[in-house]
Formats: sequence, structure tokens, C-alpha cells
Amino acid sequence: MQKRKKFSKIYDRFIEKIYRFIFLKVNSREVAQDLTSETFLRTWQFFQENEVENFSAFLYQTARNLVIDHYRQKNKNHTTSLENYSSLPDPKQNLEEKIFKDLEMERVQKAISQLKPDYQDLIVWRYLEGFSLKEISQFLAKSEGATRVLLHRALKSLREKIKEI
Amino acid sequence: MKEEDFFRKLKKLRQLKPEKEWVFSLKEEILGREKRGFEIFPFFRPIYAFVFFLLLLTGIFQTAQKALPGETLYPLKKLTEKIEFALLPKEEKPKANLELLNKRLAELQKIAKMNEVKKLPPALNEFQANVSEVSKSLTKLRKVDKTVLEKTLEVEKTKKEVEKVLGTKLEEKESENPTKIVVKSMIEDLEKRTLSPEEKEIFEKAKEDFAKENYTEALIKILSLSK
Repeated sequence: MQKRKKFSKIYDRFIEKIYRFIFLKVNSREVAQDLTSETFLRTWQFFQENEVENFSAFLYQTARNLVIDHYRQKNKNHTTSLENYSSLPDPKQNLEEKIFKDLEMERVQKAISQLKPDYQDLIVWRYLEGFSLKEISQFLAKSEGATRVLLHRALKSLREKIKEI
Repeated sequence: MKEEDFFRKLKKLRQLKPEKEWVFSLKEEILGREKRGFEIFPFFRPIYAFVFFLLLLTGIFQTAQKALPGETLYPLKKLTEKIEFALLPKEEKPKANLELLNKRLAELQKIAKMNEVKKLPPALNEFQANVSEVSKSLTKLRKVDKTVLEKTLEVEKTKKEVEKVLGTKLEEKESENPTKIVVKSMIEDLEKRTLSPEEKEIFEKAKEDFAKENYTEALIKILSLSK
């Protein structure tokens, strides 16, 4: 019972973040929902038999692996262009659509999608979700120093992309 | 696009949220699935908890019965004994007191055999306290019956065994010696009775033993008369 209560709290805390993290990588509400539910289901199944020290790291790591598997299976390039996304048939105008209809937001998304996957994650974690360097280093299983260097490179790459768009 | 604008716009992506309905149903699907698998009759949960608590309590009380003086669970053992004792009818209390004294002696014997020096002082204190209790109840006793005599003899035998293991005599006040009290009471009672010549002879020898402070011997002789 204790585990169920704990996981319920974890779910409430991370569901939006994980969904957003996946959505920005897959650009599809349906796929994002599928991969998010798989992420939480796998984490819950693992947690029932084992202890999880760092839930955010565990969830993000699971989500990253699932996104990689998804692209492997579909044999798609994960940096789906925004043009492709905009042309996806979706009869309901949802929140995602509304946000991306904003031209400026399109450019933001475009700049992110043109980054290397690792850099995308770093930018999203640090500047969208506001995670600390220490937390990000745990997600990546790297030292804080190595994470700082990676983030520096990601920012440099991002600046170049911003200039281009 | 300027860098500051980029980060400002990036933060706006926080508005990206999944549908509430989907969030709710997914949570139910994940956590509910397990609930059906593992919880049989969830409405019996309070009963499960009560049964578990009872079993735990029984376990603790059973373990406490084996506790020795100076151990954590020993007060619980004493509490159980006090409750049991309080529930006994008045006439049964002297016998029960003698049984408790025998228990204290058995504890002392166990401690001495295990050479647990630290537990010896509390065990001796418990023994002394019980001797006082037994003496008080025996003094109040109007008539000493055969069971009391047998229990007293039993205590006397165990005491001798403990003294043998300890290599020393267990100190007790002369006035509080249960055997002495019982024998004295029996002598007073037998003086009033008509005895056969053979019985009279045994009784006289018992009185001699009593005078010489050989209370155990006197007790054995008196017990043979009561058969």
C-alpha cells in the first residue's frame, strides 16, 4: 500500500513533464501518450519489486529509451520537421496545435529539433523544466563537470541554430 | 530571433500539457490493474489488520513468558502473571503464590546454569519479593491442605537444586521461610487431632526436626501423616 501511495504521488508530479519531454521528441499526441503510459507502467512494475532511489532520473531514462526504440522501430528520423508535423491530420484543434500555430513558437521548436538528441534533452531539462545541473547529471549518469561541459556545447549549438532561423 | 526571446518562448512550452481525462484514466489503468491482482476482498482490510495485530500481540506475549529477570520482555511476563493471579479465587491464591515462587527459582536456576552474572541480582530480587508474598498468604491461610504441603515441598526441592548450582544458600528472613510457616501451622493443627501410636511417633519426630530447624525433614514427615 505504501508503494502505491508513493507511486501515485510520483505520477502526479511527473506525468506532465514526461509527456512534454516525449511530445517534443515525437511531435505526435498519440505517440506521446503511448510512450508516456509505457514509461509509467514500466517504472511502476520495476518499483513493485525493487527500490528506486531517484524517480526523476529513472523516468527520464526510461522515456529516452522508449523514444529511441520508437524511432528504431519506425525507422524514422527523430528530428521530424515542423512542416511534417503541421501537416499531420488532426481533426480536433488541441493545445499542442494552438501553441505551435504561433509562428515564434514554431521557430523555437524548429531550433530545438535541429539539435543533437542529447543537446535537445539538456536544453529542455535546464531551460524548460528548470532542473539543476546536479539533477541533470543524475539523469545522464554523468558527473556534474561533464554535464556542465555538455550543456555549454548544447547552448553554443543552439545559438548557431537560432541565428539561422 | 534573439537568445533572450528564445528562452522566454521556450518556457512558454510549459503550457504543453496532456489532457486531464487521459492523465486520470492512465493512472487508474496502471495502479488499478495491480489492485485487482493483489487485493482480495479489500473491504476486509481492517479485519486483516486486526488479525495481524492480534497475532503479533500473541507472539510477543508468548515470547515474554520465556523472558528472564533483567530482560526487556520480563515486565510483560510479570504483568501477565499479575493479571492471572488477580483473576483467581481467594482460596487458590496461596497455591498460585507457591507456583510463582517455583517459577522464580526455575529462572534463578536457568540464569545460574547459563552463568549470566548480570541477570543474577534482578533474579534474586524477584525471588525475595515472591518469598515475602508467599509468606504473607500462607500466614493468612486458615487451613493448610495437602496440595499446599506438596507445593511447598516442591519449592524446597527446587531451592536446594538452585543453591547447589549457585554454590551458596539463598538468603531469606527466618520469619518468611514458607516451609517453616507451613510446618508450624500443621503442627498446631495435628496437636488437636487424635493420632494412632505410629502416627504419634512420626509426629514427634517431625516436631524434633522442626525444633532443630530441619524444616524440610519435618515437612516430609508431616506430609506422610496426611496421606
